[in-house]
Amino acid sequence: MSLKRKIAISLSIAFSLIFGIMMFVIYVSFNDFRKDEFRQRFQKRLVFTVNFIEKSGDFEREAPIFFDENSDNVLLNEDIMIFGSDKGLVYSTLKDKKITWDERLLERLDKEKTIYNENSVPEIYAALRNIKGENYYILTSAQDVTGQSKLDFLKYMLIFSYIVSILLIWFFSYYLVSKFLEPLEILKSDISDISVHKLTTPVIVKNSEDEIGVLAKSFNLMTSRLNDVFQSQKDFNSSAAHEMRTPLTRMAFQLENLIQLENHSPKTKTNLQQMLQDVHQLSDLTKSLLLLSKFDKEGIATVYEEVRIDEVVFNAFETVYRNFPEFKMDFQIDEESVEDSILTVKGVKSLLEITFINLFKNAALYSDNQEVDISIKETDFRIIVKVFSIGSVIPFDEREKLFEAFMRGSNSQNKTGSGLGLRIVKRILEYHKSEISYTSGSDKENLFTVTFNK
Amino acid sequence: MQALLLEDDAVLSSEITLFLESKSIKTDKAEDGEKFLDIFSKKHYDVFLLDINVPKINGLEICKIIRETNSETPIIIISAYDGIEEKKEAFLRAADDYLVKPFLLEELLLRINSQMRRLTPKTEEKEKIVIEDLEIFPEDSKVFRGGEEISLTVKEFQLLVLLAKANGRTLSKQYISDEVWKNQFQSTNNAIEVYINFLRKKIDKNFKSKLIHTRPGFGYYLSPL
Repeated sequence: MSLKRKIAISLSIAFSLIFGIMMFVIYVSFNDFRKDEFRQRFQKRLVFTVNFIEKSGDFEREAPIFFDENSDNVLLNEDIMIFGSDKGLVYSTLKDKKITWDERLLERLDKEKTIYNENSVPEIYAALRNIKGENYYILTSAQDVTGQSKLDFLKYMLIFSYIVSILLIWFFSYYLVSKFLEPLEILKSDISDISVHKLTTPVIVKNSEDEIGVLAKSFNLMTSRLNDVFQSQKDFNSSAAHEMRTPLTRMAFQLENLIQLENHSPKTKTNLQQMLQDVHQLSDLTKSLLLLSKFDKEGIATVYEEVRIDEVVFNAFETVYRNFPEFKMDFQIDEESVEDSILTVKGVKSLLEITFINLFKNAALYSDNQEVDISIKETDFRIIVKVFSIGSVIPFDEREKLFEAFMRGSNSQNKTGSGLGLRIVKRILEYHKSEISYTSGSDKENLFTVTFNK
Repeated sequence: MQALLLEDDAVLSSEITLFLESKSIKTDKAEDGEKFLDIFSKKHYDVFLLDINVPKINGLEICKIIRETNSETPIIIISAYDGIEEKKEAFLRAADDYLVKPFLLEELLLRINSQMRRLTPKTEEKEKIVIEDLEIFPEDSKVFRGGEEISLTVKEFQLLVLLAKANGRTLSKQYISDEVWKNQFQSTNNAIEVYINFLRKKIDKNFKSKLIHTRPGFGYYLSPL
């Protein structure tokens, strides 16, 4: 999940929770206030009733008139029951109804004196008072309809406000976070465009004073330094190439002149020719390594061209043939290839030629008959090139490391070689997202299979 | 023949000179650009061999200076730099060839001779094979049909020239294999058919008149119907 979303969601959840808690607290507080207020009204009503009983001469006769005359002061749906000290009903406002009461309530009043049952419907406020020397149990029940309706109204208002607020919070969180993090998005996009081949393109810094501006400036400084390092490396590679080739060329020219222009015994001539071959091999190796160092896995695809694999094979053969005049090749195109085969892959021609030069050199050096058989098969998705030769095979336990650097098989004794050829082949093919494998059908058959993905 | 060599490495310089003089090419040497120009101004030469990385004036500058007064004499660059940029710079300054060290001295000789042949006035016109609207220039390795150049690989071009020079005769697969691929094909494989197919796609596909034909059981021939 992106940083923008994480921040927006976290903020929204935090606000939602806080807001929700606030709404809940408001609701609960108002409910408590409502209850307190209603309870106070009950108390006032009790005081009012007690005063009446105290001042009245004939309470039982005057009560109906009193309560009727004062009906404006009553609580909504109010009922009053007054019990005497014998817990017998003395007066009740309930008319024409069967009157029932809970005796246990009157017994509780003996202990508690005042009981407020706010959870019952209607609510009940009961008190035991001693008026003019007599105990009176006064039970008042009423419904806080007004308070309840206010509470309900508040509840719906709070719910509605919460939903609307949440929606607004979520929307504005995302919008504002997007706005504030926009420079970071731009920076991210600019950075994504930068590769080892575009290190000199700086990211744009709009506001250099904020954190993102500082980050962008630091990034530009880093890429500039990296570019300097890569440039130095390239310059070094180029100079190294030049410096290595000059002594190799001296040796090559001196050997060639020695071979051509002076008389030698056959053995000496053979040795000199071998040395010349070695010098050219060293030169090819240097060329391969330096060519490889120019490319990287990322950037190589930008210099791909359409390459005919058969031409690469023929060119590689010609190159090896110059140093191994007895070397032969047998070439065929597999009959199972697709009808409209074009034998073309995307790649770097010079690197692909090095691949096959190395494979053919191995065949020329290690095969019994200095011959290599090439078979190309093209399918809808791949081009498969098989390089087959007859000669000593790589032992089974050495095959796993066959493509590692400086690996020389036990079949390479008495043969010159650096142990880097197949490593270079593998690396070039990896750059081309292709594969190579080695198999052996018998103790004399060597088969390298190169698979290019189209 | 006279050659003038620009090379600052004494060993390389003397080995090249030794070899060329053994092939009857008299060679003068210069170890830096200024000395080269001094010698160049005093004598006529048939070919110039220039290293790039030399003191005082580098080989590419020397190439440019030579071309200001002499557009004919072949210039072969011999350098340890094998980058495309260096090669581009050399050919932009009208060098004729570029050899990367180390090379076989024999190859240097072949390149010098090849350049000298280009200078020889030709009594005949450049070879050109015309069959209907197909034009083939074997020396330049170019082929045109209907005025449009067609890009062929080396082997495709060699196959086309072989068929064209046969003047409508049918050539067997074996003959084609021997002449173009020098016995690199097994006799039983279908590679010749594949290459004939490649050629047909490039030469015949977009044209009404088909030139490459099969005579079943015998081989292939090139002729307008």
